[in-house]
Amino acid sequence: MASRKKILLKVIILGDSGVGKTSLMNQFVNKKFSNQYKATIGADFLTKEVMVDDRLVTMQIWDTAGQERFQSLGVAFYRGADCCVLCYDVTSPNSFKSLDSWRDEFLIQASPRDPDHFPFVVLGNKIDLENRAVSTKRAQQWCHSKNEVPYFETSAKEAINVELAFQTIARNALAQESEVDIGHEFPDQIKLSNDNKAKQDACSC
Amino acid sequence: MINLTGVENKVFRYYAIYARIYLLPRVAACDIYVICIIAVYNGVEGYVRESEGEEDVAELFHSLNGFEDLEPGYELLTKKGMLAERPSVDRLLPLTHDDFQQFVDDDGRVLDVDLLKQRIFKGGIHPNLRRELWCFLLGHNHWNATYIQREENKREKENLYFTMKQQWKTITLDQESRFCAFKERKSLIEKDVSRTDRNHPFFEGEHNPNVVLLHDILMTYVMYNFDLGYVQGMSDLLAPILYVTQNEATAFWCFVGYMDMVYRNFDMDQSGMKQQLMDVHQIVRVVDPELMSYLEVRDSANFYFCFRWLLVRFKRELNYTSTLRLWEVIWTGHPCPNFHLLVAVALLDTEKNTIMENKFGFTEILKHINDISLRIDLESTLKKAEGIYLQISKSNNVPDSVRKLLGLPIQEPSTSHKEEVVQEAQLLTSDEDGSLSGGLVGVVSSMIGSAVRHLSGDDLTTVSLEAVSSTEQEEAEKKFETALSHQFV
Repeated sequence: MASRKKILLKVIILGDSGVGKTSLMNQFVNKKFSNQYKATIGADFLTKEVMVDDRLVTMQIWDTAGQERFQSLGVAFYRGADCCVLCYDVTSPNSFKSLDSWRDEFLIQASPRDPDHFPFVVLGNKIDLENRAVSTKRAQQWCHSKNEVPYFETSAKEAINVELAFQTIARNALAQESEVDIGHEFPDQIKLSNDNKAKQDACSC
Repeated sequence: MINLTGVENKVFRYYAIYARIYLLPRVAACDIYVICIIAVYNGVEGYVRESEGEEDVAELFHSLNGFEDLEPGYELLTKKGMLAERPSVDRLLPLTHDDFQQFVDDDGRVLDVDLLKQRIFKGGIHPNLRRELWCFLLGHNHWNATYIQREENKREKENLYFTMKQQWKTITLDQESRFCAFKERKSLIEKDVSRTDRNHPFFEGEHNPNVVLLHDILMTYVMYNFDLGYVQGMSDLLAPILYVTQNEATAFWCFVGYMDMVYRNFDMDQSGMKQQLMDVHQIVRVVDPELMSYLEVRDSANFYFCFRWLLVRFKRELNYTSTLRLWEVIWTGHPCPNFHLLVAVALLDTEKNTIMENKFGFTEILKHINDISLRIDLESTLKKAEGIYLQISKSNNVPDSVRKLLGLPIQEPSTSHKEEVVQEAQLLTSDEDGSLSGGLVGVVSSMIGSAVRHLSGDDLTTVSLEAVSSTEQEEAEKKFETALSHQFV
């Protein structure tokens, strides 16, 4: 049965440069924090096995570069994502404002089957800092407006809420993955136009 | 052993015939589609019947290499082992101060620049001579300048640097609040310098003045080239230069010289990076068709896993000592332009067995490539890269695109084949838009892919034939582009 097979959940972390994507990933996977992580170039990922209810799943967490111009290469990494984590820095209003464009860009590039119900999770990071500039309320309103996206306020440095947030990420990704599985029970249909086209476009070579 | 000649022939023949017939008119895609299914399915059946065990996979890939050169309409099969043998190469010890003196006249002019560059390429530069020679290699000093002229130049450029530095230094916070573009650049720089090489003794510790210098130089570069501004990766390129030159203004101008070489890496639309990934693709196709087939089958022919290598010229892959060595070698422009691409190809060659034996897919390849960071032996990689260059330069059947990349003379079109291709392509594009025809070829070949996927139910067969289709598609697109550029000429 499908429930017996090994489950891999692909999670993409997006957000402006310096909001703490790499730190969040490392805090969750390695339980470590360093303020010396270099700016991510290209992409990298870490994996971690977690229990969701009573199922063991492997999370593959992708960390990408945050500067806008590197997004055009993101498509290779977004493909097949089960959950997208949008991060901002609670001390940086601009990074909060960018959430819209990160979300849109992801939906365009990853083109999930059901964009309205694709699982996003928003993390407001760096709550250990004192110069907070984005209120909880404002962030919650945004999440509410995007179809009740779950919202967590985290500190990768102090390991606050990181575990909890990733539990939710795993759970929602798994729910997404199961839905996709059901869709897969039928043999793949051969599509003549759009899908093939999309595949060609995806390859830049 | 399986013999795939039958499959190859069948797939090729049907593809060729129908691509040729249907390329010109805009026919209903279904027609081609059905025909392709039949053609491919016949071939697949043959394979499935004859296949025995997994060890045949490599054989299968190998035998399918022939499809790489399929033109829309005709032509078949590459010549195996078409490259000359790869020679083994020696490297020299780093250039010392005494060595260098032999290249310099009494007034300080460098006499035989080309020979000196060759020498640097072969062995790099001794650390105590680096500061002086990097200024030449990065265009801060002219090779034929005398000691006196160099001093003058240094003073002038220092003044210019501090003038530009004053420009951003005097922008007040109030001004900044109405100067978004400036503020964005500043904020990115602040974030990045605080996490650039902080493990290196030169930049470590809180309140390190060298980190402030990194910041100031990058901010001044923003004033020097506001349009490009600051892009991630630049701080990685600057840090070793500052470390070597140990002088703010000198580091700035050397950085300017470096940026002049690599600014396309930071294009807004990333076209410079995409081009280089395609260039690596082109070279690997020639140097190692087996690896190329493998990567295509594994959906990895986009070479994204080389992105970091190319963006910051292997800075994240090597320790400082090796980074400095590699960069000065690349800056010489010897033995060819784009030598850094050959370094990438050499590294892939080294990792090829690990990748293929473990049957890595795109994800695992990326992980593996990221993980070999700091475990790379630079000298052997440089030897291999130079060997690959010599190998290509001695070979006859290297496509012009690759020859051009490496600054090799374009060969006379000795084979009439190439002209035919161009003519054919021109014919095809004469009443139809070229990209449309190319696109149609792509559609046909990806349909072959999905048809096989659907009918065979056999992963092995699926991936193998997918490789065929995507290669064909790329080749076809390339040919049309070639044809188009010929038309303009």
